[in-house]
Amino acid sequence: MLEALQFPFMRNALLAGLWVSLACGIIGTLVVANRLVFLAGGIAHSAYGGVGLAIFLGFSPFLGAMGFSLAMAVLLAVLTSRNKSRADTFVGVLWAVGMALGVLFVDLSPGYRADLMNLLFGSILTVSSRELWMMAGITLLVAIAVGLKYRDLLALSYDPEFAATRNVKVSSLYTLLLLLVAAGTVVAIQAVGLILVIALLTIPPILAERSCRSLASMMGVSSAWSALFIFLGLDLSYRYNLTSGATIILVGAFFFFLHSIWTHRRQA
Amino acid sequence: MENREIDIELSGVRFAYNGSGPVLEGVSLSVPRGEFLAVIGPNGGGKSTLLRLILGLLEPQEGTVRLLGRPPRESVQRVGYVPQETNLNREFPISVEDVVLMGRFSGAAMRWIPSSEDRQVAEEVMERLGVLDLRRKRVGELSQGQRQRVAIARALAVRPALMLLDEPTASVDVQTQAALYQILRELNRTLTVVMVSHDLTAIASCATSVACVNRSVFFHDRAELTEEMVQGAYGSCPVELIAHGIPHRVLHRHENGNGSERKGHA
Repeated sequence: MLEALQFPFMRNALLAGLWVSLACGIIGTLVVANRLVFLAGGIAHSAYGGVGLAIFLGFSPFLGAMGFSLAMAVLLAVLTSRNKSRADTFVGVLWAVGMALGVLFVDLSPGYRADLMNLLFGSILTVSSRELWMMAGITLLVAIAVGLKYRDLLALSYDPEFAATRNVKVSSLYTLLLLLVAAGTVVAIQAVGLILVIALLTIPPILAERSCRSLASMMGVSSAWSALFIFLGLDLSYRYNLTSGATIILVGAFFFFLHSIWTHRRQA
Repeated sequence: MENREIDIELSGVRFAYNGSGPVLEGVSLSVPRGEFLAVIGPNGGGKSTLLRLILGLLEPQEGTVRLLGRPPRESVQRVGYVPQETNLNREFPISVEDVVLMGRFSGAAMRWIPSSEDRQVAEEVMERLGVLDLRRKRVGELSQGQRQRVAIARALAVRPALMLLDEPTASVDVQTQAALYQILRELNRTLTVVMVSHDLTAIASCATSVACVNRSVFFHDRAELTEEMVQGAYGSCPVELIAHGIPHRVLHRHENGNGSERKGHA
């Protein structure tokens, strides 16, 4: 692995891995604690609509995905706050609509786009320096927003009903939460693609959850797990010439199954 | 009747969730200060909805709600609320102390770290409910009864004028239940308490008044149930609900003209 560092793309990939780990640790924790896994999956997949739009109009797919998933987050916040019990239906519909739009936009665009596979399954080895800066900026913005609103988000995540009686503006805070989830998810898409991202958002927090006594520590431990998966995955994909995104996910899944067996045996 | 301040007042309240029939209709109710009101009724009868209306978490389509003499949104910060436990995520990474400190939190004043006064209040209420030793534990590690004590401590950390509890004894054993009722009785010496419960023994052991909720509210200002209330609230099968081992007769025949009962239309 060390000799690989002489390649600039590998150095970029490692840096990208760091930002993705941080984004995954923070956002994945909020996703798992708030039980938003399905919703985060929907936001990630619908980002494909933005990717298609960006290709059609000729701007950066990263920005397209970002814009589209932020819009999707607002739409979902509005729809699900009106009708909580139908939330999963809205997510399911928008999930498919986003992807369908992406496919049509790509149809309408001339030429063949090899980088589409990268967006679907991850492209951490092809991250450009410009994208790296954008990932860094967005991750830091997400981290600062979560830091400033930490107690509100904690109150909302643990018990929204009680939080509402403490004058926490639950519905606007929920919108903010979904926006943060969208932003963090798009950063993580850079590493493992929009189809696989949900595993990278959920496995690290689940491994962290039981050993932590606060959301903040869970965010830290999850980030460490994500970093481990990404670096181990990158190393394996370099050695054996495998697709990086899928390798990272399978490394995570391996730890997840070990952890499941271990907790199961301890409880039995 | 003596002239007491009214802590909760509902008049002509109607509420329906979007697009469905009314959950509550023609509800009028007033709870004087110092009361211990037990709210009973069948599942889906509107008990929790009633609490949410009182807290201002829901707005009625018709009628008015006053809480501590004001619109609920203005006075909800002075209420200690113990929501139903079943909605909570048991794996949530949070310590007992941090849960109780949430009672000191106010969305209006943003503070990152709890003040020393907040910590002191939290410690005091944890001590009072016998959970101080557990302060560093994860909430998920506690027993059901301990978790309820923590939820009550969090509500007390608010320094409330009024306690609202939604099924605080729902899945705890009989001894724990008795201990919780003991705590609530003590709280009632200084606070108005409104408790939603499935458990009719609550009426005998703590309540000073009863409301049966089943779309309308049948209010009785003594700790008794009349047959009319039970039939109105539960429909056909009340007998099973009147459990064994109650210290005194709960089911009381309704006397005409005692003037202490108001009812909405069924």
